[in-house]
Formats: sequence, structure tokens, C-alpha cells
Amino acid sequence: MSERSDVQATIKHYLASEFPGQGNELTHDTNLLEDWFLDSLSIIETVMFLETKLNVKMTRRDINAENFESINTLTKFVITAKTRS
Amino acid sequence: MALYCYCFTFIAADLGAPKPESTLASLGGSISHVFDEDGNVGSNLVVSMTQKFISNDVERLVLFGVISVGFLLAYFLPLAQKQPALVVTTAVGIATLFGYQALAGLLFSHTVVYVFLHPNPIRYPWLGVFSGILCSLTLHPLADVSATSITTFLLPVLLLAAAYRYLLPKLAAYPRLAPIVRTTVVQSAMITVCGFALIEGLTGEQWKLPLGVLLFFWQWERIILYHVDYKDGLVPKALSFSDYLAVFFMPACIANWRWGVTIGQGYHYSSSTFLCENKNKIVLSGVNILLIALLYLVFSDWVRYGLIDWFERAGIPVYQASTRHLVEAFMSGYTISTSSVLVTTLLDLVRWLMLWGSVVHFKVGIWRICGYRMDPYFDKPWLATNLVSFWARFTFHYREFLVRAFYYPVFFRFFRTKPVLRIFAATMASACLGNMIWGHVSEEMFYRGMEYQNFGRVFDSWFYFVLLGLGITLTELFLLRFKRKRKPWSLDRFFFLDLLAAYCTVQFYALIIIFARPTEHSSVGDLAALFLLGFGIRL
Repeated sequence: MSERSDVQATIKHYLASEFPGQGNELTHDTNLLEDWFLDSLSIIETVMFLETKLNVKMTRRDINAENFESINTLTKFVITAKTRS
Repeated sequence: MALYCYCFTFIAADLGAPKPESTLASLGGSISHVFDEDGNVGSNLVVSMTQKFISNDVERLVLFGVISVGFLLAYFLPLAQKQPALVVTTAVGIATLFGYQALAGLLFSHTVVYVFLHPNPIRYPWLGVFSGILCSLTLHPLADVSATSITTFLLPVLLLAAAYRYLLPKLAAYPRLAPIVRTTVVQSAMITVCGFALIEGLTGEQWKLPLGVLLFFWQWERIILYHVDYKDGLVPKALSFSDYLAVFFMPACIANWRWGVTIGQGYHYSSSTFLCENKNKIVLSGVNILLIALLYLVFSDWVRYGLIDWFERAGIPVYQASTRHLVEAFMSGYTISTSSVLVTTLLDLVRWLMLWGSVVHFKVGIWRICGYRMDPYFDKPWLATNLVSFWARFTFHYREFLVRAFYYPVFFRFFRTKPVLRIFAATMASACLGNMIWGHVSEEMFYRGMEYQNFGRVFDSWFYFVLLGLGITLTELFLLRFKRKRKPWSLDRFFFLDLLAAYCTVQFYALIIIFARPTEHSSVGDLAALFLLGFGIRL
């Protein structure tokens, strides 16, 4: 598998197991902010997951609607951040 | 807006139409605690600090007029002219309500922020002169045509024009100095009020700010978040002055109605929510939320006094549903029961929730009818099943301000390898320290004046902020440790646990407000004794 699909699968598995049963099917395009996360704490938890499991060093400015919109945008962000570091 | 004018102004009497109270009576209805002596609906919509009008009704009429004109312009004008039209409408509204000198002071303050955040003396050579003229109008408007008067007027104009042309480019060239200067300008509200309050404490001399500068200070949350966006690279460096003003000059930003003066969102949020979907949809949602605000405004006192009567008849003294009165009674030595503590604090919170709900719904409604898809400020907080959710539902935009200005900077800087400590530090920095200093000290100074004793009013309630911070921290850690497997309020066998959790959340918040209502002679120990009484523990 490519790095992109690896990261995608890891994020999807995390979101599906940590925040299950949101009443929607979780796809790569599901709007996380509107249809998946329960509250802002979920975002903080996800940040901590990305930092510890995927070794992405995040900053305040990375928390935005563009990066956290869907699994696809999060994956894109993770790959870019890894390249950056 | 016509309905608002009918309910909250003299317009019915002026037009010879029946007043709201008479209309209800003619329909055979009667309701207590809704109408005031003049037959209109009593209202918490108050335009404060205006010296031009004696009657609140007239002020409200002007405000509703400004909102209506703002809506019409934002709806019908071409896209490029919508935001500038809102800026002009708001400026006219401020000048009408507070006077042109106040408008000049407000604009002057914004030109200072703008030139430091977006310096461009080549592109905007006129801005220094414009800023100087506004400064002169604020401090000493041209009274006559004598040489002294003209010199006094022109001096700030020349000084600021020269500073803008020659000093600013040099300042901006120092990479270490420029951010410090920008932060100082952005934090000028806090620095000024605290500085003058300290001087008052030391010398006894009281200072009064020009009204326009105070109106600028009222927008402190928005200015701070604009700066956060700026530092995050979310604000275009070459933003025009008109686009900058669009963030701050909106009918909903006119300083009024005592609470929640501005909604704490910066440039990025404003620009990304403006006409981000079908404008009819946004406007209709705004009308909907304005109607909800109207319900809160009209019926809040009726609900409140109805509940007071009900509990008093049930034999539970509720001290006019005021936590402050409860504390005073406790300090006077009255024997108070646990049920009294629980019900009084809860009813006080209900009062506050309805008051807050009415005012912030009104604001969000205005933003929406002017084309911004503003998130609800207040979203049924009684449905929150934990303190984190309560805080978000109770005061969403203020919480966003605290999170972006205090939580994230600490969370991403300290204890990155220690999750518990990391969350504790970030939460205490935002819910406790940021909330107390930047949320409450500044407000106290703006409302009551720059006096040293106003520090005391806030710092006397320090334990409230500590308990709130600790409560939110523990909730966050609990939620991290015990994963949520279901959405709250799902219709399953755990539904009653949701009910219990919601009651406990709201009651806990209501109880800690005891620490925010100290009397002159009460100590933290006294308040703790009353707080514990709420848990049935009598010391």
C-alpha cells in the first residue's frame, strides 16, 4: 500500500473505534466537523493521536476547518506535515 | 424588526395603534412581569453609554432602524458593495447613537491597529493624515477658527502623518520589535484599563476614556482573535482598510445591551462565513433565531417569577432566585436548607440563561440576516451532559475565544509528552486565568470604570474560576479515559442517565456561582460552607 492509503486507513480506524456510532457511515469524505466529532475535545484527542501514533508535530495553526474537514484532508495534511518535518 | 419595534419602542403609541399590553388585553389575555409601565414589553435590550437620548425606547428604535437598513443593503446590493455598505451603515448608526466624536474615536483606534498590522505608507499615504484628523476630532474638535484652536487641531494630524510616513517603516524593519509593538497595540485595551485602575489606586485620581476609545475596547475579543488569525497567517497582509473595518463594523457590533457586547471571532471566521451558502437560507435562519430571541426577551421574566412563586408556595425559600441574596442571607445567620441552596442557585442560573440566551440570540440573528452564517452562541445548554459540553453550549463564541487565545497556545507549547499535565495546563490557562483576567477584569473596568477596587470585585471570586477550571479539566480527563460509546439523548435504556447527567452538570455550575457572588464580609471559607450545604454537608 502507498503511504497515503496507509495514513488514510490508520486515521479511519482510529476515528471509527474512538468515536463509534455517530449515525452515519464513515467514509473518506465524511464531514468530520459536522457529522462525526462530538465536540472540540474530540479534535484535541485526534491531535494527540496524530502526534503520538503518526509522529506529526502539530501547531496551533494546523487546527482549522480545512485540515479537519474529512479523512482525505487530514491525510493530505499528515503527509504534508511529515514532508515538512 | 417591525415586531421588535412594536414590542420594545413607543412606535405603537406614536402611530396611534394599540400598545402591546392593550392588544393582548383586547384578545382576552393577561400575563404578568412582561409589560412595563408604558404598556410596552420590558426589555433587556439596552443601548448603554449613550448621552444623546433620554429614552431607551428611542435608542432601540435607532438600533432596529440601523439593523433594517443594514439587512436591506446587504441583501440587495451587488456582492462587492455589501460589506462596505454594512460598514457605512454601522458608522452612521454609531454616530447617531453615540455622537460623531465617539465614531471618530472608534475609527481612530482602528486606524492605529490597522497601520501597525498592515503597514503600507506607499500604498496608503493618506492613512496617517486620516488617523490624525480622527485623533483630533476625538480629543479636541475644532471649536472656533482661532490660531490656537487650528494649531491644536493640526498638531496630531502632522505628528501622526509624519510617524506613519517615516517611523512606521523603520519599526516594521525590526523583526523582533515589530511583533512586540503589534501585541502592545492589540492588548491596548487591557493595558490601558489596568494601568489607569492602578494609578487610581495609588493616587486616587480617576480617569475617564473618550467614549469612542471605550467603544473600541468593547471589541477586545474580536481584536485579539483578529491578531491570532494574523499570527496564524490567516489574514492577507495587504488587506484594505475597508475590508479590515468589515470585521468590526457590523450592526451587531454596536456596543450595547450590557452583555456579550461583541462576538469573539476574528477575520478568518467572518470572511469564511460571509455568504458561504445561499443567502436566503442564511437570512431565513437569522429570522428564525430573531424570533427565538423575541420569545426569550418577552417571556423570561414571566417564567422566572412563575418558578419563584411555585417554589415559594411549595415551602422552599428561593431568595428572589438570586444567589447573591442567598449568600447575604447565609452571612446574616439565617438557617438555610439544602433544597433552598439547590433551587435558588438553579433558578438564578435559569434567569441568567434566559437573559443571556435572549441577548446573544439577538446578536447572532443580526449577523445572519446580514449574510454571515454565524454559529449559535447559545445552544440549549440544559441538554449538556457534562461540563465541557455545557460550556460550549452556554457560550460558544466566548469559549472559542478562550480556546484560540489561551488553550491552544499552552496546549501546543507545554508538556507535549505528558497528556494529563498538558490538558490541565491548557484548561486552567483558558477557563481559569484567561477567563478571569481577559474575560472578567476587562469587563468590570469597562462597565464600572477604571477603579482599583474593580480588581477586587473579580479577584474576590477567584475560587469560582479555579473550580470551573478544575471541573472542566476533570471532565476532559474523564472523557479521555472513558470513551463515549453513544450519542447523548439517544432513546435507549441509558436515557435516564442522560437526564441525571444533565441535571448534575447544570446544578454543579449553578452551585459554583456561589463563589462568584461574595459579599463585603464573606470569606472563601464562608462561601465554601454554603457550597457544601448544597451537597447536604452542614459545617
